[in-house]
Amino acid sequence: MQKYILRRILISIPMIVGISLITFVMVNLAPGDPLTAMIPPDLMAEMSPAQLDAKKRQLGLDRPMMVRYFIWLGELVRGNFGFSFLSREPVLKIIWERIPPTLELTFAALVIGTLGGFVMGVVAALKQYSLYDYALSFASLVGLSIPGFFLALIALFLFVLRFEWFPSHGMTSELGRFNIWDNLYHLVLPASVLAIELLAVSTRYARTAMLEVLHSDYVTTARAKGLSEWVVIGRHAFRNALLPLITISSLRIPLLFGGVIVIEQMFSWPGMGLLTVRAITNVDYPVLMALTFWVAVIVLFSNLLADVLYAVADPRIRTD
Amino acid sequence: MATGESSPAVNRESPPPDLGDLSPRRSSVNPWQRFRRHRIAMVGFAILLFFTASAVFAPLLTNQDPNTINLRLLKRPPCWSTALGVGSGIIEAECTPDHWLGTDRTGRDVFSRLLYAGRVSLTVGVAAAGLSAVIGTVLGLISGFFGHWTDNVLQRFTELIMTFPTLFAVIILVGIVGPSVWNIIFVLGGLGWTSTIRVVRGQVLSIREMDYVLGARALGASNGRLMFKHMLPGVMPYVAVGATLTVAGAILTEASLSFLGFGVRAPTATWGSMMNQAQRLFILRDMPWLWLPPGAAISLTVIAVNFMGDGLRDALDPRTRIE
Repeated sequence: MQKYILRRILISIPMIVGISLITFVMVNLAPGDPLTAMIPPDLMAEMSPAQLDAKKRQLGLDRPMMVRYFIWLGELVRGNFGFSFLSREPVLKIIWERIPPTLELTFAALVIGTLGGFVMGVVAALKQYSLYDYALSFASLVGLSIPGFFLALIALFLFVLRFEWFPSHGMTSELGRFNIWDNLYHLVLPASVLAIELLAVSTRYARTAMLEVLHSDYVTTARAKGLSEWVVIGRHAFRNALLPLITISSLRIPLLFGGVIVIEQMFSWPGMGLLTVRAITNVDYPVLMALTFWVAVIVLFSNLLADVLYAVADPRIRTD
Repeated sequence: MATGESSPAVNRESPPPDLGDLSPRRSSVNPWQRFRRHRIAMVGFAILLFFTASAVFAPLLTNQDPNTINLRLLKRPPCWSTALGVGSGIIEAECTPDHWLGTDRTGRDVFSRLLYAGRVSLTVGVAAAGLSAVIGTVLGLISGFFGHWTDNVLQRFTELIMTFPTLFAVIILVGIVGPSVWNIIFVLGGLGWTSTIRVVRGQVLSIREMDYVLGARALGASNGRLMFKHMLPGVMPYVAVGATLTVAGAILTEASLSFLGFGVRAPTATWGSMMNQAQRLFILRDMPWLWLPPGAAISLTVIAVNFMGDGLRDALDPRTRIE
């Protein structure tokens, strides 16, 4: 068990290096260089080519890309992600504030999507070929197909503008005054909209998994022993149907982080998604680089966590 | 991609032993016949045909130009909607009978924009999925066929790509290369192959040891011939299912990209970019004719594509009963 977890953690190290390399290359292929972003255009016009070259050398921009990558990686390890072109603040500080709101939003969506999907899928499997089963299959396919921003627009239109049940934006009613109930009240709508797709997927998987389990020999044995249906399903079938959901949810985490960009933008949720939109609009490369890196690392660790959870839940995994 | 990973078929579990009826009429083995008989898949096919036709024949269906600005007809609701009482808010502009879906904030005809936007959205979806299918199939064949370190490198690389959320990576890459239609197709196609490579590789691993492949190898077939002549047909059904679902994902991603304002530049309309303005609450509230039609078009198209993907999978899986 410990060996398995240790091996999984060790595999993530080259992955993180890979993530950093892709991030660096991607952002460095971008047109325009940091010089044009750092020096105001009017000042730039007055500078001679020699002055520009000197400035370039001073910033280390004259060196080959691989050399710059290792310098950048060295700084990264020491926690230095550079400074934002826009606000001149340290990038790490900017991003650090944005991680908790995004984690709150994605975690809430993950819980709603996985648990809700599990319950609905299991009920559909127990009532296979019923009207509920068909309706749910149809609904989950529709849920998969409607773009998140359209759902968000409909939710805003109905629940915010028409019925005025929920607030339209932000994490709290008043900026800077944090109250857990107020925060949860603001969380309901964006988290639910973000959860729809995951809900649809996990419903489908839970249904298939539960059906497979229900047709398995040990469930037949349990029934043959004369156990009540309640015990058969609750104690025997249920648990094994739950297992694949761990993997499904973890596979969907990157998707959740993609959805965050749209949802945070729509509901003015002050997380990494909103920061991404702002950084792209302002061509703020240091922030973009750090954001890309951190999002990928968070996804990587969520997957790692899911693998470990799976190993804890399913003893068959640990042996190989 | 949204539906990239192998989602389960609606009816994938093996059917209960049904020994009473073994007539061939019921359990046809011809996948094409099975697909044709899959009712939901046919509904999807019809919807998709409808949207494709309306995009292709756009000039015949409307005489309005999608990009002509008409300053005398700003933000006009369609007449049928005012008759129904929809969109009656602070907008007091009179409805316009010449524009079936009203006009937008610069007086452009929404209906013709919707038709022409379909051209861009559908093209991007299909072309990007095609590109992903080609990349995923070729890499999957190589990965599964050669095994060893080739397989290892390709699989680790795939995992690496998968840690970057698609929309996130697409927004940044399109921002870097510029938001032309072709660039968007290349970026979406270049990132969307991760599920295909896995499915193809898995199939290749089992096909590789089959007698007919071993036989061909014994007869001296080259690696390329083994891969593309002998093994490719075996994996094609899986590629087809995957590609169909990738079309859905690509359409959704392009729509999100355009909705956020990072997609194909104005004045070219896509379904996503037509909804961009609805981010302002007053447009959302008072001018639903601007955002509801494109939203419905995207949703219906993606539903149709997913229906077809499900139908294809059911048709190719002989264990599923199709009624």
